[in-house]
Amino acid sequence: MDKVHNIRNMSVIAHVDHGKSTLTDSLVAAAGIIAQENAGDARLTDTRQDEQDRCITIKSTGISLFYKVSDEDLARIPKDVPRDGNDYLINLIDSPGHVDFSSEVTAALRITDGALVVVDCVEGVCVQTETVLRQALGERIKPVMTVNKLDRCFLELMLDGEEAYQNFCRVIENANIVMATYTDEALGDVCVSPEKGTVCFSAGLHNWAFTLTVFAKMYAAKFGIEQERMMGKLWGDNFFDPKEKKWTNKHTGAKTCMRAFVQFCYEPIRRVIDAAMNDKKDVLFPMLEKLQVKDKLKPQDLDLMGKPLMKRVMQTWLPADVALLEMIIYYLPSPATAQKYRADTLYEGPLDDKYAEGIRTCDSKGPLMLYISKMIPTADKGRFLAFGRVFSGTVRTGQKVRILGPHYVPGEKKDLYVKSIQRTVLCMGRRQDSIDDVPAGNTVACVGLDQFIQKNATITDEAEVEAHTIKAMKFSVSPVVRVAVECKNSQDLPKLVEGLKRLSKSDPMVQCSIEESGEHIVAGAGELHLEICLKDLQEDFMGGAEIRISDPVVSFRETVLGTSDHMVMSKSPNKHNRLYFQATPLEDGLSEAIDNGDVTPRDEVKARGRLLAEKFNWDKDLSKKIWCFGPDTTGPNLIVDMCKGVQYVNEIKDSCVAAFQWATKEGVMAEENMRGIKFEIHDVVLHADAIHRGGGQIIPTCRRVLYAACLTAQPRLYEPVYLVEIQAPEQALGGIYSTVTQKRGMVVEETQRPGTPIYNIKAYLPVMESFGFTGTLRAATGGQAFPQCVFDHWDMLGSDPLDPTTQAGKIIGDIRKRKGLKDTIPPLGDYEDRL
Amino acid sequence: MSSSATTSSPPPPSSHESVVRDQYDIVRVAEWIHVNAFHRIAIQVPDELLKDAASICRALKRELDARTTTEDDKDSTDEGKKKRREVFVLADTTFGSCCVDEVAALHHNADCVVHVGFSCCSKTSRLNARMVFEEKSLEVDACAEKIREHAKSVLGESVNVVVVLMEQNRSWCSERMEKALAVGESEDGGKVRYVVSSMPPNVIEPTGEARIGKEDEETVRLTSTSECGTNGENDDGNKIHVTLGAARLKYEREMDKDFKDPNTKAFVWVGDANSPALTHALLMISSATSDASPFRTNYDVARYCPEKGEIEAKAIGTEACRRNVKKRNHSIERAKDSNIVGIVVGTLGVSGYLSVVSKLREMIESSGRTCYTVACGKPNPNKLANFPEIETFVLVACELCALVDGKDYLQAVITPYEAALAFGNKPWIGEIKLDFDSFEEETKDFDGVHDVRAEPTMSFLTGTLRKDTSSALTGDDADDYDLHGANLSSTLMDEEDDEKEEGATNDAKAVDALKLAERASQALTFRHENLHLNKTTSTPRSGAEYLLTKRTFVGLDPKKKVKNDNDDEEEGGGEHPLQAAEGRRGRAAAYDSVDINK
Repeated sequence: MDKVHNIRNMSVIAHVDHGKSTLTDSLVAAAGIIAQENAGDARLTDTRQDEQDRCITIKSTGISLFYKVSDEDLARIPKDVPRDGNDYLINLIDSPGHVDFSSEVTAALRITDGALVVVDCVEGVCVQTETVLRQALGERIKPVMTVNKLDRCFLELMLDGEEAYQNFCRVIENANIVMATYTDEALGDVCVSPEKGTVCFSAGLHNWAFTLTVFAKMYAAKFGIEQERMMGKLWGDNFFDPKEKKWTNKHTGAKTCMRAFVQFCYEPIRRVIDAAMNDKKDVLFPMLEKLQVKDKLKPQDLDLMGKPLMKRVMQTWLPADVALLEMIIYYLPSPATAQKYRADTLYEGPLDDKYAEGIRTCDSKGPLMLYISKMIPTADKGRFLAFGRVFSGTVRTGQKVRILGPHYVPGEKKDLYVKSIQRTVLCMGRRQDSIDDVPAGNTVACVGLDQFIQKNATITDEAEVEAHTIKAMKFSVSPVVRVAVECKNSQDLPKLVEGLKRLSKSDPMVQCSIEESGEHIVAGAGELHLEICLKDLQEDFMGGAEIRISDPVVSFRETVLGTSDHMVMSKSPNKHNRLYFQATPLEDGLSEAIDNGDVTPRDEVKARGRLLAEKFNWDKDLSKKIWCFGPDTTGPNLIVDMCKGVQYVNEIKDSCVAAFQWATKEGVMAEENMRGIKFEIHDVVLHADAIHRGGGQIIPTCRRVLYAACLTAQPRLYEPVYLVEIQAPEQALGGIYSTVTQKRGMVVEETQRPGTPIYNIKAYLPVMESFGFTGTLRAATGGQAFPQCVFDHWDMLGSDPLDPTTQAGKIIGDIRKRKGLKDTIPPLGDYEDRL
Repeated sequence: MSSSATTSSPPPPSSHESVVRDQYDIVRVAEWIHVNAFHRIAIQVPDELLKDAASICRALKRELDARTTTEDDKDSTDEGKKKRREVFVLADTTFGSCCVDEVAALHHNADCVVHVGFSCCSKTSRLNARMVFEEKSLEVDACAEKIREHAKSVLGESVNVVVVLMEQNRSWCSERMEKALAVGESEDGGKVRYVVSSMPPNVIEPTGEARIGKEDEETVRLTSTSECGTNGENDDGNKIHVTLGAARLKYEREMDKDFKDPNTKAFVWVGDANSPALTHALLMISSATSDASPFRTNYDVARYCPEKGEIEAKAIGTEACRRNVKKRNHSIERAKDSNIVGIVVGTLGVSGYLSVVSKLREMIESSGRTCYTVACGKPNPNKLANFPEIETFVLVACELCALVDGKDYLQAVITPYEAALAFGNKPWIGEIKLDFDSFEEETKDFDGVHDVRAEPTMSFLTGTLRKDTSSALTGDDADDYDLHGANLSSTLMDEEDDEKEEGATNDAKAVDALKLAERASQALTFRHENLHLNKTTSTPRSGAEYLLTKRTFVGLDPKKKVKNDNDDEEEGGGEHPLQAAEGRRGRAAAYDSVDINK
């Protein structure tokens, strides 16, 4: 593991149910961790019982695999890929495919350099394939691809060669389109193609796979062409007519003329499989002999019949691990290679300091930079392993390290701990092996730091006080589905609190919080995610204490549609100060720009002014007078000073900002966060004595006037909306449309996947209506439609929330009831004063 | 706060006065004053009874004069005349009207207080007080009948004990009620037992606790064994006493098992729906979760409405109380997140408040937080918002005023018991305890030093880890020093360290010295980082944090002025101190010299 050039850190990513874990098994088997026979069934990386039961990966699981690769196999390694002996270490992370667990994928991608993209040859590139590819490329992760479930082509669909070829071709093309869209210059060309060796064809369940090299090697000798050229011939529009022994670029029309891929790869496999499945051993054995496979089979294998025989034969002929390993070792970057171009996107600090340099060169003697991307619960209840990647330096058992949390700022002591690592261990799927030290370029798990890391952290050596953090991960999903939990037996409250703390640690995405009402809220990316989290909470983290779970709660945002219809004024309790405010909506897109961090409070004032002026038509002077963002000083609401030449305004700024933070956090209608509101201070009249215009007078007054401004500016509600992607055959479309419409959704796109009867439908669906959507949809389409929901945007509810009979009004009523507020929104008179 | 002394020559008693005399038990009050030989008597009247105040005062005066003259006739010296009794009314109370306002009374050198109306019956610290409760009508037999019916029909088989809580102004008839119910008991076969709350004592003697010092411990012990505590239990032969707020409960030992079991006990409240005592009782009952709590019950508190003569199975406000209990969860969490804590002195009378305040100070400071003590009369949102940097307030007040709904407050306002949990890193089990005893109970193992091994905990508000600031002060990891708290409190801490050193043993001295040395070695870096803090690029996460790190206006002191924002103001003038000049006159709304609303 000291040989950085012989390490590959990779994750296996794909759409749900495309066979990631199954394929991973074959690699694991090849490393001798499980028996070949079990590969494909054991799903070693699905470590949890519920993962095994549901046949779905929930947590990403790391496994370190060690291979001795023969010289022969390494002979054709591309010249620009350095190697260092024959021993290869592959740190592999198997990730979940369901969109609800995308955060696990994000955490996995961060600490790997390459990705094996698995695509079902029949289903093709799906929603989640696209999502994870986008994420991977965003992290500058180099992809290779495998077209999986080839066995379905042969056994289930009985495709003929040309059909199959077209099918594969389309799958690869689609993937390439996605990759081209999200590619990053620093990464270079990321498109994959079989002739380059970056696409593999596999049947994970039967544990066989091939790249064109296998066949190229075989035929190169026969035709007397170089292996490289043969590879090229085996893909694309190259046809061969065995009768005439002639290669052409077009189909000649002759019956015997066939595409090379079909002729030399597909057909032989089909024949072998056919023979094996139908027990035509008289046909099969000569073929095997020809392929030099028969000698490798054990005598008892020859007695097998049907499927087991086929499996055995194929495994021996085209072992999955060889093909995959070749692809991984040849075409995925080693840490040394990858960190050169990844350093810029990883490191938060200046890119010329010694830490950036250490990362760039993957220097095991450099300063320690270790990123913890997730926490793994251990058998020891309540304790966690900190799992991450060493980007620079070497981490040792017993080392004293600085733990920099996500809010750490260099030079300050906030979010900083100095502790010793008790042990460093390697993750081997279900078990962990202790190891003394781990050099740069590897994944590692640390024992004894769990109390000091909430979800992720950067770890440096005790002495490295100047190091900045490694950038925080950006998740593609957000926790929009929330439930309130309480314990059935009120004496279990401390258990619940402790359990929630652990739950929050164990998942990169889940959020546990306490609401104003005192309720414990658990927020997750989707229904399935929440279900799993709550199960974990109850069974693992609370020792089985019973909990009560509320119906899902959706959080809304309060906003305004227009400008306040008049200048609103509030007087301070002592009647000596008057504040005049108006509220208007923020310009289109500005809220999103603030969400995405394009406009932040940290921006340099002039740059921000320019941006606001150019993009959002702001007055340049005005943009200098933004007092604050809110809520939490970063949110998408602004308070702007519009008054000119008023005395003492500077003095009340702090009080107003405090009130603004408070008011934007708890809006006037239902105490939900505000969004997209600009508050303008038009005039203030203040008492001449400082004592009479202190915080006590201004803060409550300012809050009241902000509320009054909202109420007079046509207040509205924003609701969260999912983007749902549904795949279904044509006959299910009717059911989909009616279900979506019934749930207040809107179909925005409908495309047929070329060459298949399958349609891809994109629709917007309010989160509020999404509970039980999957079930309804399945019922309406006879189980043929499979939806995936991702939070997309906030959508304004058209109706007036001030009218309790409208839909928005009813929602407000429900929220207020849940929060234990008065039934109706307080009247304007509560907040506005008359002169 | 003003007082109005009555004239010395009383007019003949009016008819109203005689009504008042009977209604407010004036004769016995006068007797009590006379026996104890008090001379300056303050009468404290709640707002709603203020209309009777003058009559009470006159009636009492007359009654006292009658006694004085009969005695003084024999000994009519000058001295005797000097000792004439003075009776006056306290027109306003500093804090809640349920507490005896000792401070106001002491301002006028009163030596006793006659407290009229609803009282929280908290022990006073300096003055003798005589409670005069209102007496409202109650049809005892009808009420008892209804309660029995309720026990049979609504509560069902398993309930063996029904606790009847009489509102204070109706507890004059609690003995009759007990008898009426006892009759029913035997009729129903004696299965259901009734416990009726009895009249609280109407005389309160001061505990004498005014200073804090060595005697403290003794006082604490005294108060915790006295029956003043909320759930203080007291053995009296074969009777067990329990107190709930101002109500006293007494039951026989053999009932103990049934009484403690939440399945066999239910509560009935007899009285008005808007009584603060009902709210208090509901809070205590609905929050009681621990096995030890005598108030735990699985049944709703029922209310007997004396006006209608009916029982409602679930007293109004039960749900609101449950919600309020839950809300505490959030407040406590906010408290844990805060670095600067204010102690609001919400009482200057309730016995033991000083020791609570000083203990709180000690706790907060040893947890690495900074603390300030604020006395501002009855707290309200406007007053407390004047301290925006303070993130949490701990309100030290009498039981019935101690819990405020934080809705309108900028900061969290918590009770001392909650503070003990939040700053002592203990889990909250959903209980509300408002009396000082439970605070003392919760902090009794607190010895001024925090557990060094305390781990950082997750904050449920920010989702990040929260440093236990104390570990930095006492632990070996000097690096774990939280700057926020540290900078502000370092001076305070240093002083305290010095104090500690004097009294400490040699070992402790060595440790302290080490700590000091360590701190001294870091002194330079502190300063340095302090400078850094002002320019910090980190984003503040709360309003208070914003004010701490990014405040733009820092008052008129020119040295502290942050330059960038206020360039236009005070360029030259700020450098030199100005001559003292005459200030403005008049009311703030309209000073004599300045026109404000120009």
